[in-house]
Amino acid sequence: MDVDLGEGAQPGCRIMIKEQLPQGLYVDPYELASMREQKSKEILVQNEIDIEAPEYLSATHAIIVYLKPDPRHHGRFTGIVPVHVRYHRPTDREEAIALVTLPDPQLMIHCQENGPLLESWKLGVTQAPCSASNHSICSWLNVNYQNVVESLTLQVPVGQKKHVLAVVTVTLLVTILCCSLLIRAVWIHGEFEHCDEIPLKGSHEGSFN
Amino acid sequence: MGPALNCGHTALFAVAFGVRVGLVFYGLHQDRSMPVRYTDVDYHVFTDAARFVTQGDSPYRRATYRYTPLLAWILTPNIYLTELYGKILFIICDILAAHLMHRILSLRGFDNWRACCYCSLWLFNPLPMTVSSRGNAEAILAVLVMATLFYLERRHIVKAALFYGLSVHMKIYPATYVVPIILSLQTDQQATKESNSTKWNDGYLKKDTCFHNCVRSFMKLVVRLLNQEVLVFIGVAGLIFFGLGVLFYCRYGWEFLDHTYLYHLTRRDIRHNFSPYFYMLYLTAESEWSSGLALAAFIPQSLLLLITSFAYYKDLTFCCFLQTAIFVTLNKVCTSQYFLWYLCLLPVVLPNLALTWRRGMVLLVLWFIGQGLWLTPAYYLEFEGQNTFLFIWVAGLVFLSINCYILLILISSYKKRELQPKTKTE
Repeated sequence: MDVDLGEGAQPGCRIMIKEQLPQGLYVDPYELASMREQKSKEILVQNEIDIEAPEYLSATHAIIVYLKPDPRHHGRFTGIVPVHVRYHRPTDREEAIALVTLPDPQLMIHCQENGPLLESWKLGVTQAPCSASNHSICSWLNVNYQNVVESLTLQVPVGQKKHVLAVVTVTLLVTILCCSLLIRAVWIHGEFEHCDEIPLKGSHEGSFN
Repeated sequence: MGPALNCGHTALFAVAFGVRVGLVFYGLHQDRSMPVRYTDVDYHVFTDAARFVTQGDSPYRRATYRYTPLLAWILTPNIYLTELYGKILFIICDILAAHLMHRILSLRGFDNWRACCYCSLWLFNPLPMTVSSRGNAEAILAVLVMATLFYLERRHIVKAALFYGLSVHMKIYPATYVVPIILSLQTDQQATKESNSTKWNDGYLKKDTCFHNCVRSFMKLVVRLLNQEVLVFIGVAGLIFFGLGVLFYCRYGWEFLDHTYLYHLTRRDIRHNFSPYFYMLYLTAESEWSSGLALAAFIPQSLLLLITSFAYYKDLTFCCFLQTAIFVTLNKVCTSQYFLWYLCLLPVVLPNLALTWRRGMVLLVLWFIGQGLWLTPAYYLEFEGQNTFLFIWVAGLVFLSINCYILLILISSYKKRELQPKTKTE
């Protein structure tokens, strides 16, 4: 994501984005921790995330992305968030797709000095950590912005419920067939002690071979 | 001849160790310079869990840590010494497993050269090499299982039971070996035949029908199973398993049982994996049929395992190999790490298979084709986001069929070992 502050950008300002990730997406906190160690990305997660749960058993969660200034353009900030998609429910519909929409994030700014231009941007103030590694709380100003792209929608492939009968039947048939073949092979080639092999003292033609 | 061949044997193992160490250092380089990491995610999970242990916390605070706390405890030097410690440990276990394979083959009468040839299938096999150097802990299980089989071969029951109890504590799958192991420890039939036949035949079970013969032989089996070796084995293994279980339960509570055992037993992973049941379980995940279907998958698998135990318990390594291969192939979840569980037994089993090299290569290529057929649609699903679920499902069934075919060939080409008599009856 890129943020362009334009001419009003002052040095010493930091930009942060607060994004509400929908149920269908998640970030891996351990991946983020290793990225923080490598100083490549700074993303903060405030809630516990279950990284294995499917979409229908998960909740939305908020992430805070601290954007870095773009060295090539003054007033531009950029950031990348590695996001993973959860497994979604199989669908009844014809199209085997689930849609995940990423809502517009909140853009916030924190500057060392509050210039006069910034006063005009002020909408509301939020208390949030100053950076991913520094947990002291700063005051961040909410900023109105113009979104250049349409809202982002992700198409997630899902299974189709109409396949259920065929899949269950064929899977069980094939597995039972394989098991039967294996049982037959083991029965023929295996070394069993058969009931009739043990000689019975005093027995006569009554044994069953 | 002796010292020269021994030098060759040591050199072989040293080279295999060196290659693995090289891979570990290459992995370090790849982790630092390329976006796709060499080290497996699991290794980071182990290290994080070990970190929690060093801080006096529970290793289960690390999400997705689904192993025994013992592993985290063993890997605490990852935090105190170097993060490479775990990988080096796994590599050493890898080499130790090969050493035990060599010892087992020597016990069975193979000369050093032939034993080394078979061990090379593990020593220079890219799969265990990469798995251990990437930081997966499968090598530890391989060593424990090989040690169990080695000591059983030498009839050192207490040592075998020690390693067996430990291996079942670490992963559940060796529990399938208990039936063949117990059966292999039964008293020799020759010794008990004369004493038993008078007793039973003069009793009330005089009818000679099939059913009564079977009941008779079953009861004879039970009597043969109640001997000192079986009781010692069960006692020692049970002591280790339950002892460790109680120790960790007292320390970490229900979390320990849940993550180490229950998760694996009730696990129904709806994410794509090699198992033929994957798509079926994904589609029925929320329906009331899901437990019934899981059971439907479990019953044929168990029946097959039971029959295999009775068929091949006299050759424990082949029996365990078959058990594990069947277990992995028909399991509800299957990832590539599981293949190591039966691959480590292959070098010891191969000498008893009447397989030509050509046929063996055909089977190997077929096995890799089966994996490739699955990995292709899986890649498109995971990294390109295309809907390839049906392809993955079909590829899973094809892979199952290929595995089944390979197992059928192996079963039919098995030739009975010339066994040493356990007790001298003459």
